[in-house]
This record gives sequence, C-alpha cells and structure tokens, in this order.
Amino acid sequence: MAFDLDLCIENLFRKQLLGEALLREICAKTKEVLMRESNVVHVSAPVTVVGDIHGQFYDLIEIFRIGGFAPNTNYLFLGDYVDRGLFSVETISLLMCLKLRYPDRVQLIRGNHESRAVTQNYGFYTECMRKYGSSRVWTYFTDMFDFLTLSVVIDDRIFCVHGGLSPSIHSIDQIKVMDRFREVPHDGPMADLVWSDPDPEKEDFAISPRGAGYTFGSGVVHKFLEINNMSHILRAHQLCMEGYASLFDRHLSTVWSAPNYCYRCGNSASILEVGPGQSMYFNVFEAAPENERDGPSQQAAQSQTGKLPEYFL
Amino acid sequence: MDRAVAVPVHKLLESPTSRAIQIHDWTVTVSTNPISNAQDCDDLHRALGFPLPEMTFGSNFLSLEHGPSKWKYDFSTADALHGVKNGELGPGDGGVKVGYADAWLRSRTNPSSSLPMPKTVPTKPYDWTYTTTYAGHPGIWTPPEIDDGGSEAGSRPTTPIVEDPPQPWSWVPADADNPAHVIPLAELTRPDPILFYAEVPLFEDELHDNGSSHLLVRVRVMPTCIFILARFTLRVDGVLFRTHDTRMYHSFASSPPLIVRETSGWEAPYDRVKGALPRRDDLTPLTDATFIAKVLTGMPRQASQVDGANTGWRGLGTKVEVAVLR
Repeated sequence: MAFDLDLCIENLFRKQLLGEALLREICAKTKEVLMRESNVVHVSAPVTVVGDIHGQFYDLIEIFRIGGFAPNTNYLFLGDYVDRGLFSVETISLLMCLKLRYPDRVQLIRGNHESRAVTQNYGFYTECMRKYGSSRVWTYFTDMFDFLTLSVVIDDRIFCVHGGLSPSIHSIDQIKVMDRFREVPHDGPMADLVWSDPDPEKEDFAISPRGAGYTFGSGVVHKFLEINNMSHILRAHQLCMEGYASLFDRHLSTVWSAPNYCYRCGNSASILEVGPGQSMYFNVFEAAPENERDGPSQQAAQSQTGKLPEYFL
Repeated sequence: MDRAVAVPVHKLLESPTSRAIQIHDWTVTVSTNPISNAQDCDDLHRALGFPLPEMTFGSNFLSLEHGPSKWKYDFSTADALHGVKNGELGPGDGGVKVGYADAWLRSRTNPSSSLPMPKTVPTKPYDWTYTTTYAGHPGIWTPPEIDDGGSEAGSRPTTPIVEDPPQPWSWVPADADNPAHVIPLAELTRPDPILFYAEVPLFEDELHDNGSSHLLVRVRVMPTCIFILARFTLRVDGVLFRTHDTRMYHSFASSPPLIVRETSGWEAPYDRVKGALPRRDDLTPLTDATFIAKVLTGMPRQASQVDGANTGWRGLGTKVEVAVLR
C-alpha cells in the first residue's frame, strides 16, 4: 500500500480530514475488500454492534471509549454513518480506514443513507462540497457504498440488518444470491432490507401508508427465525429515547447509537455487546462532552446565522 | 420613529424544564424537553391511534396566560397531533403519496412481476405526512399557587380561595376596517429589545427519508407586545411543499386586551419551489422552513393559496380572527 493507514487512522481520531487524492485511493482499496465479502457475512461473538451514527463524530469516539478500540474490540456497524450530523466525512473516513486496516474485526453493513439519492438531500453531499470544494469526494464515497454488505449473521443465531425483513426473502440463502453492487433501489428486496420497520401491532407484512415500502409483524419475525434456524433479529434504523428497544418477545432488537440525535432530541444511545454464549448487553451512553465545544452552536456562530433570538415574523 | 422604547417591568423565571416571563398581566411559559420515552410514546400512540412522528417532543409546550381574565391558551404536542387525520383520507384532507408510489405498486401488481405482492394485512390508514392545521387550543385555567412564605413542616394549610370562574370568550372574524385587527409588521420589524425568546419543537419526522414534516412554535416577548408563530412545514420529495402558519399577536396597549390570530396555509408542487433555488445544485434551502415559507408566500395568491399542489387541502387560504378578553 502506498499510504500509511495507521497514520490516517491516527489523524482521523484527531478529527483531521484526509486529502482528496488519499481518499480516492482508500475508497478504491476498501471497495476491493468489500467486493470479496458475501451479501451475508458470518462472524463470531464477542462482537459489539453499533446502530445509526449519522455523522456524530464525537459520539463515535465516545463509542470507542466505552466499548474499546479496534482491533481489541470486534465491531459490527449497522449502517447510516452519514447525513444529518456535522461530521459525516470524518465519521465515514474513520470507519472506512478501520475496515481496511482490520477487515475481519470491523464489519460495515449498508444503511439506507449509504446511497446517492438520500445523501443529496440529507447533508452528506453538501458537507463534501463544503469541506472539499467539489463533489468528487462524495462520488468516491458513494461509489464505495455500492459494495457494502447487506447483512451479518453472528454465531449462526443472530441475523443483523439495517432496516428489517422483506416479503421477497424467506431464507437467508436468497440474500446471498442478490446483486448488491448498485445504488439502493426504491424497490425490491434490497430496498426492504435497508428500509423496512417492524410493527408490533401486526402479524404480517403491511404496505406502509406512504404508498411504498413495508412494515413487518410478529408472525413474519417468528417464521423467518424458524425457517433460518436463528434466535434473534438485530437492526437499527429507528430512533428511540432509551437508545434501544426490544419487540416480539425479545426476538427483535433495535439498537440506536446517535445520542442527542440531530443535537436536539435529548435521547440516550447504546451499543449492544454480544458475548460468547447467549449474552447480550446494551451499553447505554449519552452524548460526548466534545459536542458542547464543537457542535451546532459553534458552527452557527461561524456562519453568522446562529440560533440567537430572532426577529421572526 | 421613537428609537428608545421603554422596557416595562418584567420578571424572568426558570426551572430545570421550563422558562417563563411575567410582564404586565401576562405569563408566557415554555417547556422544552427530550423526545418522549417509550412509555409516553406508547400511551400517546394508543390515544391517537396512529404511529407517532419519529421525533415526538411529547412534554413540550407553550402557554400564554392572562391573569385578570383567567384566559389561557396553549400549544402542545399531543393536541397538535390530534389535528392529524386518523383513518381514510377524504376530500379536503390533502392526502398525498410518495413520489414513486405508483411505480412501486405497479411493479408489484403487474402479473409478470418478479416481485409479486405478498400476503399483506390492510394498513390502518392515517395521514403519514402529519399535516395539521392546529392553531393552539384554549387551556384550562388553574389559579396560581399561593406562596404563604414558607414550606416548613407544620405550616398552616392554606384556605382555598374562592375565585370567579373564567369568562367565556371566543374567536370572531376580524373587522377589515379596524386597524387594531391586523398584525402590525412595522412594529414587529422594529429592532426593539427582545425580552424573552423561545423555540419549542413539537414534532418532527423525516417521512422515512421521503421528505420532512415538522411543527415548531416560536415566541418573542417585546416591550410592546407578545408575538407567537407556530409553523408547520411539509416537504414530500418530488411531490409538494406545504406550510401552515398560526400567528398570535397581543399589544400591551390594547384595552380591553385583544388577541389577533392569523392562520394561513400555502402549498405548491415540488418543482415550483425547487425552481426558486438560488443555486441549482444546492438543495439545502429546501430543508429550511423559512426559505420554503418565503417562496410560497412570494407566489401569486391564486397559485399557492387556491390551486396549491392540487390536493384539495382545506388548509389553504388565510383567516384573521380576534378575541377580546374581559
């Protein structure tokens, strides 16, 4: 490798951006690593599972402080690394370098925000433009996103995905044969895996009132677990005040890892520590103290449009 | 214009979860808190009958109280969400589907589809855009607690004070010829000191990344008046933009005390607002409620307050009402 990956990681931990040429090279190398992964990656416990981060860089550092640093702790990230927070570029740069450095100890699943269409609307595109002056870096990242895996199975018993289940997928083997090297479509099983939500009041699949997409109920979960001989579904994708939620007689968990989401929700966050044996522990944490000195109020002060008392009309 | 406005005597109060100002006969209280916890979400979900917005600030509120008339008026999350249509959407509700819904459904119902429709249960319909024309609601007057000067054990029980019940009141249409029946922009743009300012988010939802829906209440108390703006903003990507504003204004100079309330709704097709972007490749302003409102209100009335986005939404138009407090 022509670049010093350890130095990149060190700089990123200090929140220093990597240069554009370097990022281009690292994205290309990461693609090569991701390309070799199956649509369903198998890993063993112990592993620490992380939900949505959304560019909250300091809270990602907090996760490493409380959960341990890679490679001493194995990590599985469930997607939604970018958009909404202030430091999506730093966040995805660091995670990508860690993946490249420790490919077997860091797993990155694709979330619905790892997509060109979504990042154009929710901040990552704009952030790339602001920090690098052109959309090229955004292109490198989003091209790399096309290679992220869709699911992980821990110890042959926990199925992990960003959103949820799909009516087109009964067996995990059906995921293995999907063509995932593409933009997340609006439609079909790949979209369902990154978009769908559980509905505790339902038994079956239901079409969302939005007119597209599905929710899935308890019957769907139990059938999926039975067919695939699994005991648990683990996913992210939905904000919850407590930082985690358990549904369907604890057969499905949501893990949410962005505390004080969007710097205003006041919610807790968690990471899920899956131990050998059957142990699962939600390690709950709050927003990192650094958000106070390098958060939205400082950014707003710099841009002169701060949230000061306003003569609104 | 007189530059130095006299600042009336006022008192600012603060507790861990709320802030208030007492000025003349008025008390304005705001409470801002984290999003609701699972238990509160479940309770509110049950009460409403539809899934809650992703960010539901269930404990947030703004309340406006006038002591002498025992008049109280509130903005709160649960009441705002009660204004969202639960059940099948009908004429006037302004229902919409996401931009790609038709293509999505076609791909499932086409007999040659490789993605046949699975067995699904009917979805309980509700307005997933959380559109509400909520303009606040009359609160329940509770007499202020009497401070008997101490809370030591054994302090004398306070005698309940027999009070007159609050006077009935109602909103009546504004008189177009009465200059007091409008919200005076000149006064509100004057850079008088802001004595009290708050932003109170009630709910927010990104519509599963199909857009955004949120309701934010803001208040500023000025030396001469109280001004509130509750703004609902909706973006459905590729489909439409919608704004519903409630403005409330009270001049401390009015006698008897007068409240002016203006409610307005605007709507336009997505591309029409997108066409107003200052830079075509930067979509960020489309996430800014102030930018959206500026574009919608700058359009001809026929376009944004009558035709809208052809949804037939009943919230379009503008209405000014007043309430006199006795």
